[in-house]
Amino acid sequence: MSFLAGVALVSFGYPFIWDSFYFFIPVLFLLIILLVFYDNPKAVISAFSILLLIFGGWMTNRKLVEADYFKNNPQSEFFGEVEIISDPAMKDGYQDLAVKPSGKNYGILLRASAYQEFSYGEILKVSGAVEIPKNMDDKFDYRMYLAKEDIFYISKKPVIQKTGKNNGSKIFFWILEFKKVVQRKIASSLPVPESGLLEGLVIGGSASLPKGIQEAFSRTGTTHIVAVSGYNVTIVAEYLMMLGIAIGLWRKQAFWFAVFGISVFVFMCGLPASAVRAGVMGILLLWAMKNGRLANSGNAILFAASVMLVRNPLLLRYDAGFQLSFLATVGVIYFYPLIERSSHSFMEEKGAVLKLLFETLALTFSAQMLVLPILMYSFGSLSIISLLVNLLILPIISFSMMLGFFAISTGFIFYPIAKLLFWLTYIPLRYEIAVVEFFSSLKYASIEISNFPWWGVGVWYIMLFGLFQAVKMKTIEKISNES
Amino acid sequence: MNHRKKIYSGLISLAVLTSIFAGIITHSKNESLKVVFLDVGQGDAILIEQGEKQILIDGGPSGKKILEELGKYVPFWDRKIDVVIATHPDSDHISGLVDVLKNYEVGEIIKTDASSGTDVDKALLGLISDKKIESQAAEKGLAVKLSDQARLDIIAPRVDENVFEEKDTNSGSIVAMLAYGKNKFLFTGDFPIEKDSGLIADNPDLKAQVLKISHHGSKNATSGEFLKAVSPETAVISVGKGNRYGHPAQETLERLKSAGSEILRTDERGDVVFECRGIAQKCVLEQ
Repeated sequence: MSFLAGVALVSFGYPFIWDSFYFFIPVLFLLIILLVFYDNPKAVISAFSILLLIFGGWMTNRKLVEADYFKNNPQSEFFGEVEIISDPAMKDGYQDLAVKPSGKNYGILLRASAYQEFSYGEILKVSGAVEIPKNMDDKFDYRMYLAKEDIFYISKKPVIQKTGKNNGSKIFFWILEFKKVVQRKIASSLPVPESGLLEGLVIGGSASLPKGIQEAFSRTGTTHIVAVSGYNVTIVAEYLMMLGIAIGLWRKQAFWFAVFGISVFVFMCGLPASAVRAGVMGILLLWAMKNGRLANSGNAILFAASVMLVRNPLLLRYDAGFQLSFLATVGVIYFYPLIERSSHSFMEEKGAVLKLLFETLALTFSAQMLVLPILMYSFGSLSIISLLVNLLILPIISFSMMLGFFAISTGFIFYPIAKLLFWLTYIPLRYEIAVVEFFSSLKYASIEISNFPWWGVGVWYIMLFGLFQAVKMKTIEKISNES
Repeated sequence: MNHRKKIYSGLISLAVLTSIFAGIITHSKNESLKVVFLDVGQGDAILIEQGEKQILIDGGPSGKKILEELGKYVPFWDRKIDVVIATHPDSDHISGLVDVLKNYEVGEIIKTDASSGTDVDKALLGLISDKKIESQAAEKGLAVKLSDQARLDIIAPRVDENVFEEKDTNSGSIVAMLAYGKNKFLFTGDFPIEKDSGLIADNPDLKAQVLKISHHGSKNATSGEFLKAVSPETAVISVGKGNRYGHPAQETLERLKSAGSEILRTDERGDVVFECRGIAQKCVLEQ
């Protein structure tokens, strides 16, 4: 917890940067305290937490110093050999290649023609002008967004020559090739936009959806369905478990079924760090649910988040995906059990369908509570009908995922049957898009919130914490009264 | 219990599949012909569709956009475009075709030998040979039959014409006339103004109700003389909002006005859709 706080303190303090000297004095001081009061547990614990706080701060600071160094030392030209270090990101009319020059410790983003084939691990000869990434608007810090991936320069019109060599990890290369094949199968079997939605569902990402539809998803608060995030993974996992139980698996088997589903999903995404993080969060949550210790799994999530931040402290501030993943998971862990417990009495005798709908509502609601201020702050909009739309489509989503998955796998074996399965998949996909389009066309589907203040985010969380404590007290009272 | 569930879900899927098949059959029996000038931004893409048969003339500047547009008009089970025509190898006409060839089965492609040497052009040629798509050279006299009543005639370039010019790709543009009963549509690609008189001389009957204005309404296309020969009731301009070329040119709009044609622009209306319900009836514009 204090480690997270340290990371937070320093990263939100940016552009202010500390001299690493200041980190050492208190460390020394604390070490002395530790030595002197080593038999006083309270002192040891507080000293340790402060140490962790400083450690978090120091890690973050180090990364920021590095980012600043490149900002203050602009290059204007680059030529030499580079290696493509991640899956090329296809955009409309161009593709972004993240490359690392050989023997250098920084990355460059190359904007290349969409009509040339590139793949992960390829070695290219590049020459051209490079610049420091510019931020288009003040809400989104594009430079730091790239910097957290160690990319500090961007080249908009590079001259690229293939060398024919490939240096990447073979396994990763094949995973990405497999992903490409799946993408091609989907895109050649279903029309746009349904193909884009299915792609988002089984391999993550909204890049294949038309702009208008992407907007509709965001206006209805349903983008998480196609985004690779802990939120998505959590909800998918939850449904996979229900589905597992529905097809007659034991609870324990259903858990492994869902874990398997998540792993497949993470692999199909092409194993990007974001999906791995989301997968870890999702599996932790499932594990907690399986053991019926949802409320006690907070520590596990905090620990997982800390490990991720030790690896890359800049995620906390500059990666909306990380923020949303983490917060949504926290929301489900703390609020979902509360809602479930307080509604237990009147939901008990209701039918299965109603229960399912209620659970969807509770899940969405508990995640939304924590994600909302970030959505308002970072994306500047608030979807009013989000709960309703989620309720209408979430129960169908896992169904279309499974059908789509089934269709794709059959496509590897015997295409004519896969074709029929794709047609079947088309129906739920069509329904989901129709619902999203209809609700987004309503005039007040979403309100624009320009300039939601950062302190508003703080106030929201403080109030939420208060609310959480109050409700918790009440339920505990109720339970103790009942017994 | 579980067994019964399986039977039920099997029955439901069967029922759904049957209804899809029923839908397919009714749809393919549907005789009406649609001509859609797709709103693909600054570029050209025109879909001619009857039942399950499609001809696509050009693919616009963006793969993403053309696939979105095709998704709107081509029924979801139909993953085949029967004929693709690439009027000339400029990127605002063929970029989208790359993605069409990737994601749809294409029966045959009709194009000229002209090449622009760009990445897009290379990618398109690569796909044609990789996927072994049948390729036909466009020349006057070639005709594509969509059905017994609808046929598309290529009227330019002439067989003896040399279109193999890298610098001026527009001049080799394919021009094609769609005839459905008395209804006629003339598609011109980016055909240049210098060659208008030659086209008129080669084709005594150029009359058409609907004319796709050449080169997005550029001043270097669509002469007054040409408009007189075609005398279109409706002129469609496929153009992107706020494009950097200033298309369509004021001069061209004036020429169209004095020819008495109604002007429909994709940047103002979005897709321009004509529906033809039979050879005896006049095609109507969908509002």
